[in-house]
Amino acid sequence: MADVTFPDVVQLAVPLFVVAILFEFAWITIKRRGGRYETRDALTSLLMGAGNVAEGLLLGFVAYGVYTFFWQFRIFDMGTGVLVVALCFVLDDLRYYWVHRIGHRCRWVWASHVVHHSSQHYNLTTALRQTWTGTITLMMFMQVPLILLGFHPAMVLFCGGLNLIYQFWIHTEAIDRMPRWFEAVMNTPSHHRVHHGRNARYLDANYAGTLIIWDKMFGSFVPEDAEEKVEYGLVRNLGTFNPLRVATHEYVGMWSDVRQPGISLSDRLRYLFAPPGWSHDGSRETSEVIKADHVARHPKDAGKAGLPG
Amino acid sequence: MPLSILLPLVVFGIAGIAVLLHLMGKSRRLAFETVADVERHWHNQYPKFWVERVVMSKGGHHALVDSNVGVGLVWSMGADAACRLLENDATVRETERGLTIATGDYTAPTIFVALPDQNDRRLWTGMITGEAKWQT
Repeated sequence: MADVTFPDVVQLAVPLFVVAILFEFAWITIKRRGGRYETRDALTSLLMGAGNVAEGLLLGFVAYGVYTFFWQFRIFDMGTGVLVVALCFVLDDLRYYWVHRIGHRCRWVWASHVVHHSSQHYNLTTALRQTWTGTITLMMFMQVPLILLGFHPAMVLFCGGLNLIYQFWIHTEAIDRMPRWFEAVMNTPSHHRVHHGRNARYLDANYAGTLIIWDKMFGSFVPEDAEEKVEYGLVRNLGTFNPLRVATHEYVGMWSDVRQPGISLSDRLRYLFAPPGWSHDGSRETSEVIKADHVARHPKDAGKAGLPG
Repeated sequence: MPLSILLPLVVFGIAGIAVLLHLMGKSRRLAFETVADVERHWHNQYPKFWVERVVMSKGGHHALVDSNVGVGLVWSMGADAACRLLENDATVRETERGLTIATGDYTAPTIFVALPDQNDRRLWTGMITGEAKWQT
């Protein structure tokens, strides 16, 4: 493989993350608006972020090994020009959209991604509340098409890192709306607040990383409604700040569901791969059921963005 | 970035932010002020289970809820709240300062309810186990 190197931009951005968090906190404190901070919540988020970086250092070789394996079967070699990097970034953003969407619709991947949604707060520390178990979801295989198209593995990782850094600043309530043209094309704090909402209408919406156009193209876009304040967190919020429990709770739940007696193999597999909230006896609620229930209780909301008609 | 720089940056960054937030008073726990306050948090998590009775602890950090599907607990999680129905596998242990409730739920394993008064501890234990009448 040609000797191509790109910087690990996520690691390089760590000082920026710290400074930006301090700036946001100072802004909120001075302006008395634009978000909330709580010590244990923020500490848990930051520890999850540190654990995510540690996981990357320990297990990053697995993804890179997968990419370098497939690199030998590439159809083209796109090189490393600036335009190629830009094209790679856009295609990787499309890849991110689908990985993210799968992450909300398949419990196996949700078990990892749920960590990011487990805070009841929405500030820049929430951006760093990341999974420790990303490798075992095997979602790195979603980047293989880019490798086979001839985008170098180091470039693909570089673009993925840039995407994550972009997403950092949108985890804030301090910014209301960006200019209209920007809101139309890019993922913004407003769009991403919706994504973190546990309100029925905001569930399973706005999966975008950098470009919000993917949600508009694939029918998952829901605009933030000034009349319905976003409530952050999970449908069933955690009752612990323990980082180990935050990181593993959905896996523990899955294990408990899969090994229960008296259900079929098909049901066991559904507990692993069906959408979160699925249950063999219908005793739990998927996002579709939650939305339908909400409309049944609030008929005036029927047909609003994010809700059934 | 070399680990010799990254590690101290992460450790001191996290510690510094946590200490700053604490010193700025951001460790204050939510205290429920009214029954309506508790009900709002309960319905936030269990919109279909209605509340029949509520008993709040003196500090306002915990509340016991008698709902149409059983007894539940609402408690402050930092500046926010969490709720759980207390299922059959929940156990209550009395200590000198309050009750330790083991929920049997991995996402909220044990909750300590500060109840300095022994009568309150006995009453709460009875209300959870169904052996005492609710006094709201």
